[in-house]
Amino acid sequence: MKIKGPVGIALVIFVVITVNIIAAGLLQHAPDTATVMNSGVSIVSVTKNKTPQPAPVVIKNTTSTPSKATVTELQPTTPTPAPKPVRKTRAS
Amino acid sequence: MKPKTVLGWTILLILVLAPVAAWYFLGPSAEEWTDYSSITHTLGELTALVALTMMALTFVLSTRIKFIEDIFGGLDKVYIAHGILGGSALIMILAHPILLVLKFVPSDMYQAAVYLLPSAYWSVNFGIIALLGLIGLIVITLFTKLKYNTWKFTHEFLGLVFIFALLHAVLVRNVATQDNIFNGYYWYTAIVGFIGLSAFSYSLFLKDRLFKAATYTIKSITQRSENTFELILSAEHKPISYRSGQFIFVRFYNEQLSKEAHPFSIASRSDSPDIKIIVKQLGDFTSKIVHLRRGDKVSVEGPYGRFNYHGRGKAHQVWIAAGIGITPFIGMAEDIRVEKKLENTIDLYYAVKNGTDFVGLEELNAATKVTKNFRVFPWVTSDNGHLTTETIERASGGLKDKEFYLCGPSGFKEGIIHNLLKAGVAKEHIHTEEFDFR
Repeated sequence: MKIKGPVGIALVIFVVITVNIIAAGLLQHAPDTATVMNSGVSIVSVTKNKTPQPAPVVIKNTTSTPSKATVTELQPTTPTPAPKPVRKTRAS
Repeated sequence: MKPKTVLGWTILLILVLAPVAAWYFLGPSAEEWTDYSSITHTLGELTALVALTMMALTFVLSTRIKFIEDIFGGLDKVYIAHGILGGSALIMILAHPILLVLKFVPSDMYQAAVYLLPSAYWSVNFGIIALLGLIGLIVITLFTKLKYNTWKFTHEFLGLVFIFALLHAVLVRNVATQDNIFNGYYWYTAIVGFIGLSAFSYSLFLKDRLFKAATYTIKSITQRSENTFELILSAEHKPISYRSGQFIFVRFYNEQLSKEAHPFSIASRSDSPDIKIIVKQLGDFTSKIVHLRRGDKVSVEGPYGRFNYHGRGKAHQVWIAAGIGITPFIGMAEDIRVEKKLENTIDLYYAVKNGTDFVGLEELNAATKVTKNFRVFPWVTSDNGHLTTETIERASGGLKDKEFYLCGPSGFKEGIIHNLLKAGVAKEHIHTEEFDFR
């Protein structure tokens, strides 16, 4: 049948692409560990280049209205005067 | 390609492209799919819908309904379309997952890999089952040589594959897709599913019950050559009406033979009450033909096919047969003998490997005796080499303005057709009969 050739080619292309994608994807996501045999007695798992992960940031809902007591406590204070800029001279 | 076959293919093409048209007219506006991710995703979905439509149409084509045969100009042409459509459905369905994962490549290869593997979502897994099932069954059909009845049994699982594909198409949209490929997607899938499943169920379960095949008995079995047998089938009730050159599906009720129906050319004259078929021991089924006995019951379905010499005007006809491909020509020669007249000239070239392989020379010679316009040129390839168009051209006086009828092994036919076309014969003047429905 005339369709035999195109089907054969399509199957080969499909297998090559699928195997490549699955292999590349799974290798990329493989656990970053190496298993080392220790003196033939026990197997120890050693983590390579382990970078400490930052703790997840939890964003809390801050839209609640503050209580009246809190409002009275947050009175504006006398602002601290800003430091005067030091003018650099040629001599210095 | 004949005008009728062109009509059949045009209708198929329109139906196959229906999901593309639906997407174009009922899908999202152009701004919504201009980025790389949307384009590959849309193409991925469209290939799947086209493939689903193709599968449904392959089931429709295999129902052997008369009007489909009329549209294509012969059941053999219908089965050719069925095979091409089935293979094309697989090519389309192979493109479907690849196109869908392209949006993850190369930025997120892990996600791409996960997309192609079975997951917790059964709606996706149904699609994977359908894909693997279709690959397996089409590979069996195209690339293996299973016994006919074993192959036919495996082929029936395509209905199950279609059901899995439908489940995937309906359920997956809640899981994997957020977009809407076109309004009426579920309606389209439901219609395609209904048509496909109805056609499949009709072929597998209903056809034999609704339309009983005619019952015949074997009247005589005669060995015509070393491995060729002639069977005369006699109708138990009303005989079927047919024209010489057509073929029938025959199911033999004999313990030694499997029960599936096989196609055979009719080798008797038009509307003869007894049907003559000539069977060559070629495959696993026909090799068991020796076990048949007189009085065995057979069911006859048909007739099918449009291979006949009538209706071509007064054009000089050239019939070319090789091996067991002579059978439809024996029936047509019988018609000439009975009608005792022939307004046009007909030359029959009959090629066999060895001189002992000739079958039906008696019937052919009998026809040559009633009219000078019918001539037979027997050809033994072991003595004379392959029959070529040059030989035919010399003996019949040119190739132009002639109608050619071919029947025989596919390699032989393809060679002759190639040379006829090369010699300037138009395609519409070449008529062939296909028997390899697998």
